[in-house]
Amino acid sequence: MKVVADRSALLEAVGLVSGVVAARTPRQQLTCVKLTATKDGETGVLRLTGTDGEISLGISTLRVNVEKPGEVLVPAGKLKDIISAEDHEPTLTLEQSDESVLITGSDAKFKVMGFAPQDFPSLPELTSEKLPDGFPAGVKLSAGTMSELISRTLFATARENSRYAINGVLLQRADNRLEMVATDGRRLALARASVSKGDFRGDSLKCIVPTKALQLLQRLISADADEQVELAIADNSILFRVGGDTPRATLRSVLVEGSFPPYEDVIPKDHDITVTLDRDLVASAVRRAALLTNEESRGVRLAFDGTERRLRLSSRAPEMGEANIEIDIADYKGADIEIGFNPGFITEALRVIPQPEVMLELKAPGKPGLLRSGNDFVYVVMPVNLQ
Amino acid sequence: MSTQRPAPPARTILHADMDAFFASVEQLDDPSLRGKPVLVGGAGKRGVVAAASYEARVFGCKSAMPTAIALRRCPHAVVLPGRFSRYSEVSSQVFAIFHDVSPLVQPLSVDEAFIDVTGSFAVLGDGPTIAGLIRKRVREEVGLAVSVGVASNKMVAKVASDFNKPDGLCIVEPGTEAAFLAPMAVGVLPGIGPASVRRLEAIGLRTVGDVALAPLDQLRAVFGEHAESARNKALGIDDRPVRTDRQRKSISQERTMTDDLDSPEQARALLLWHVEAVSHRLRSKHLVAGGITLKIRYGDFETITRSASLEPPSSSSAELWRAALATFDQWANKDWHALRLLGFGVDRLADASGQQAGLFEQTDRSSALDAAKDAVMDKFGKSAISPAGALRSRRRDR
Repeated sequence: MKVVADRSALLEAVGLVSGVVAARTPRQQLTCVKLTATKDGETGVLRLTGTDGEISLGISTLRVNVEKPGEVLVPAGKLKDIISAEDHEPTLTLEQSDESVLITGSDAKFKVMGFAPQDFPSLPELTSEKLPDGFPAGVKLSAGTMSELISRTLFATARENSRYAINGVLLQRADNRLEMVATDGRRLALARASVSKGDFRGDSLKCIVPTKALQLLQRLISADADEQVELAIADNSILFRVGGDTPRATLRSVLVEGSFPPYEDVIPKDHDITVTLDRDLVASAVRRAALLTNEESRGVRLAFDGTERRLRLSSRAPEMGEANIEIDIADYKGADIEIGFNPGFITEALRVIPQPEVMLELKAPGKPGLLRSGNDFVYVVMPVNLQ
Repeated sequence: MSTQRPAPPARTILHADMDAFFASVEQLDDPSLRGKPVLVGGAGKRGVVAAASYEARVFGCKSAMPTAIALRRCPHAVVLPGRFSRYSEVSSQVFAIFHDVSPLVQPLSVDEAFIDVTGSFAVLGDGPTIAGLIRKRVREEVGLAVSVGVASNKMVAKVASDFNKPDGLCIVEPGTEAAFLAPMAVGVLPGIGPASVRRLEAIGLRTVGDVALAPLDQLRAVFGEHAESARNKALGIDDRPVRTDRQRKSISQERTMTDDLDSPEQARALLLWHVEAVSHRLRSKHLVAGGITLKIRYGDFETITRSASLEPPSSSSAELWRAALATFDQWANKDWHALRLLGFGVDRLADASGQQAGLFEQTDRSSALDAAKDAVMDKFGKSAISPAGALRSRRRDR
């Protein structure tokens, strides 16, 4: 194999693929990225693939000149370090030499030892032009919509393992909408997007996608909002193809097994208090009150005064101090209430709401609060015990 | 938004473990015992070995083994009753040395500790240098040998300290954790007991490396929902910080039976009684617990523990009972034996105020019930009220 590649395109691709490869494994081949150079007439393609055994990613770049097709398997970390360090070079030459790869710039030569490409798992679905067989259900949507669904839910997934904390996001079809739901057992985010009926394929579309796969997908699609993303599911895996019929990136992931917690039961059906809040004003107030919280006392107290239309936020950290912040509220219906929330749980949700006004629905100090923005975003958050 | 979780900052953790501590102290104080097999522990019929010197270990004597069995294996061993105030004095000297190299010392018992030395590099040198310094000072100032493991996290450091024991130093370079563990028998990993080892061997997984490479589905058959955590262990991943907090760490209660409990029903009744008592103590101290542990001792003295997490942390009798019962049944359905002792404890304690409520555990009725029970117990004493299911165990034991 010998290719001359645009350095920045190469760096972007290697950066993405090295986010997949196994960081720690006794099998060194899984820490590698496979470089495959092919040539069809005048058009050369360099394809980078990596896998950790559960998530596999393939990226193609056309910004190469393929002098000699072939394949090599090189440690992803070193490859990325070298391409990144050669930042004065517009192009780099990658050439295979037995099981090593030579990376050549204008004033530097690196020889990186690799492995035989046949020692790498075969990943045919990452390289095929058309959608492979065995994926009976799926949907096509724009990258912008996909990205919005991810950013409105992914933040609410569990950061550690616990009883209800599935490390994944529920993705399902609800009529002609695509719905994503995430929870860490303390708060829950639900986002929806309309998709035209013809873009759905197959009947049942419902699965739990691992957090890591969605993080990667988010990085893959952030560039162009109009680009097409196609997702397809099989029994135990999901395939994302980014970039239309000849995808520039293909991501395959195993699905999270097990059932998603009964999330519909915990979305409050009624409420006694409705507050209309200015998103930025309340976000700033919560952030400031959070300055005087710590590990032991993580809650911010929200005292709503309906008559004065004021919200008083306070916090107190033992041996540190306390904070008091007062802001106006746009509208208030119901009796006065004091309720505590983890400030991060509020600000993280406000960050993904595009509208400048948000609705907060409450019932009692020990009951969940509900943040709403339009019909496409619902966020349920449990309070912190204030005593 | 940030799409990749930041890697935890690189750390250097030492696990320091005194070699055959009680027995070594005896050999230190009485030179005539040096080079001889020494057992510290109870000598009576039901006595148990608390520590065996390396000379005794050659014959297969181990701590927690009944003394009678140890003496059968090594009849010429010297059995000593143990001088615990002296051990604690020596322990303080050793811990003073640990505290000299870093403020982040987490004692695991009188003779072992984790030490996070990441912040000590500028003053004392890197991890291996500090480990050498500790070993030298403990040898010269206390007169005992300590084995030290150096690694990027607690779990690997602990495996490492055991690796070259006794009087050993083992350094696991960052990035080589998985490779270091790979050839070892899977039983070296914490939390993987003999039962899991047998089940892993049955599907052909013998070494840590086998587990690291096994597909998650295969691990789920053995570990259930803990499959991912088991694999992380096998890969040498452990993000737990070194904790120095001296706060109360656990509340527990246990009872040894005069006659072994011979049915799971009796054991469940006693467990419910323990859960009620422990959860009442938790609530009276305004604490919540993040984990529970059952302690089970068989008629033949073998003692095992079974733990579970409470997420979110709780002090509710109903939540604690749910976790305790599930943990008990999981054990009893597979391995039920007549019991000599049953204990129940809670750990990972935290202040109840400021606790985040859980979405899926909205339990209004049970918290009202707890408050009513607590009021009765506070006014009329702890025996004034108990669940009907626990009465059987109390009648029997009176």
